[in-house]
Amino acid sequence: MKNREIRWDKLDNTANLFPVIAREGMSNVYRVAITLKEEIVPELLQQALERVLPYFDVFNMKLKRGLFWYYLESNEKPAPLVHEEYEYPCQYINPYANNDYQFRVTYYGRRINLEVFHALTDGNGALLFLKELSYCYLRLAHKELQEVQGESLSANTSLDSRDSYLDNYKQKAKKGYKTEKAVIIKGEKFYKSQYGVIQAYINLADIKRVSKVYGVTINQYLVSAYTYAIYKGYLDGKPSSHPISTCVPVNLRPYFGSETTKNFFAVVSAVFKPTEEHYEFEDVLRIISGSLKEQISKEHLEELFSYNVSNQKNIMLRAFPLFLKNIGMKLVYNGSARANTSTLTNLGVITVDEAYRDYIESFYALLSMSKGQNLKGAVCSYNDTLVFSLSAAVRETDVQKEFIRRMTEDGIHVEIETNGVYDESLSKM
Amino acid sequence: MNHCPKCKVYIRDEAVICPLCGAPLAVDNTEQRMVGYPDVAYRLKFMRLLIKIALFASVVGQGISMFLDYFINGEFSWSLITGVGLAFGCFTLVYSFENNKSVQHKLVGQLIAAILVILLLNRIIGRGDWGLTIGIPSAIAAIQSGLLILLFMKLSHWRIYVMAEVYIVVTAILMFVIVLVTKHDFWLLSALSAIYTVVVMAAMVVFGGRHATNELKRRFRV
Repeated sequence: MKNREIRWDKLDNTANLFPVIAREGMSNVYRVAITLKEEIVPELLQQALERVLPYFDVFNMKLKRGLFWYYLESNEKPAPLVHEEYEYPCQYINPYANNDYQFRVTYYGRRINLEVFHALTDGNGALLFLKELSYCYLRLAHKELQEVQGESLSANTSLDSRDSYLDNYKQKAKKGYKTEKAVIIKGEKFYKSQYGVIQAYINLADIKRVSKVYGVTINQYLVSAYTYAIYKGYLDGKPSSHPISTCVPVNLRPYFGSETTKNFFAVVSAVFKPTEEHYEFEDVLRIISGSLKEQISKEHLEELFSYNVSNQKNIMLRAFPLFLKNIGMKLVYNGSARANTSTLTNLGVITVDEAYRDYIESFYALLSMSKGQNLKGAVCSYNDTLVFSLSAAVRETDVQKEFIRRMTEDGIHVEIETNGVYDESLSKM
Repeated sequence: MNHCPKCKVYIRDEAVICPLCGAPLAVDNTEQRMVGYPDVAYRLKFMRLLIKIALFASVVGQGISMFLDYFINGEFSWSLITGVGLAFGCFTLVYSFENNKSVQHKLVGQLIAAILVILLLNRIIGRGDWGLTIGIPSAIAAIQSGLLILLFMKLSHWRIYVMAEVYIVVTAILMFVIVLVTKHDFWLLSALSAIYTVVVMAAMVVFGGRHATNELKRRFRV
């Protein structure tokens, strides 16, 4: 009987919510994917995973349920089996059918998918792991790379697994989250596990040029265009008593000098309330970019996560058994879910080590659905292409249409790809 | 790459209708640059059909039972028992195959469902309180034995059953206390099942040693 001392760790502050609310249909699993310039060989990918996984403490864990808290414990089982993609993206990860791991690696054609349960880490943490996995795969597939690069991890990879929320929070922070009921995008829902994806491949130079013309950053332009698309496509350009509130996760690492591979982000809300009869895109751009500028400052971001951490440290709340905490968290979550229309996350510009650049074509990210949010967007850039992925739980594509048309009207070259769900003959079940 | 003249967008996959506006695409014979996605729809359709067939068969079976029962006896008697049995069977089937539950979770869940079914059957059939004094202690003993079998099948992972064992012990002791408090004459089986579970728990703690106590400390961390 193996009786070695078990290595264990607490969940970071953000991660405590995900095991409570995750279920089939609301998996809290996101995907980051890399497309290479060659077909994937599954045996080599499995080998690469087995070699890289032991280095990453954050991924090498299983989720356990205590009487008062969830926690993570080191996972001694073999790495999960790599298999060809056969489901819709971002499906619930059943740890009991996955060697207790909270992530999965699949492949399809030239693409490697890494799907991660959000309790482990955020998109930036997942990208680190995906890049190392891809580097190792490429070294196995190309002997010349192995001779030059050797077997060590990239110097740009962090293995830090500190809880940066605890390291940086301030006591007695006031509540920073809004709770006003927002516009909720409704429509004909897909089946529980069905999931519609439209990916827009956008020329980065075009979008930089257009953002410069408008005098905003690329992120501000994208969030504004997305919000305007909801206003035109869902509200038909009519006034509304509820605001369109887009959650924008902000990576906190640059603000606090952190290199953690765990979750470390805060969510701000870009809010636009269409009270007047008619708005032009420039009006929405001005409101949204102003809203984002006001909220994305170190002080405000610190207030946002400090409030959550101080709740976690409250001795009265800590003493409640987990099942009561879960009830409380679900109630708070369900209440706050009505305060947001959608989420748009931006993983920024992805860089890779120079030796591997010739083998890598692109990256993309996808978010799963959550309560009250039937449409979400995820953005990342690599080389000269920005990939904007729109994932939806509803069949209507008016918002996506308005968003893409906004960009093509601004003179941006856009190519799109879908996952086939919108094809009438396939999706009627 | 096909092109939508209304949206002014190029389509990388094999669509012939624009996924955004539904308009026919202008065909362009330049090279497609897609990796694409797998066809998931067919597989999901088949699994949904199987579940619907099982559900339909259960409903029809119960309907026939109730019809025959009323036709023969003039009232609903034994068909209630088949109804409870079918409902428990459906619950067991669905619950056992649910993806987001561990084996331990399913054991404890089945125990609670079994207790409720026994109490319900006792109420339907009558003839004393055999549910509380015989049925439930037997169910607890059966579940405890099931856990032991699973534990010995994979002894290296004994730790994962510690919390399930805690829940089974608490349930057994609680049922024994209820039997005593309600002053039933036949308390022997309840006592034996409670002792059985306590002995198993004690063995886990003694043989597990520091690892068992650390596991409990992690689970009970405030």
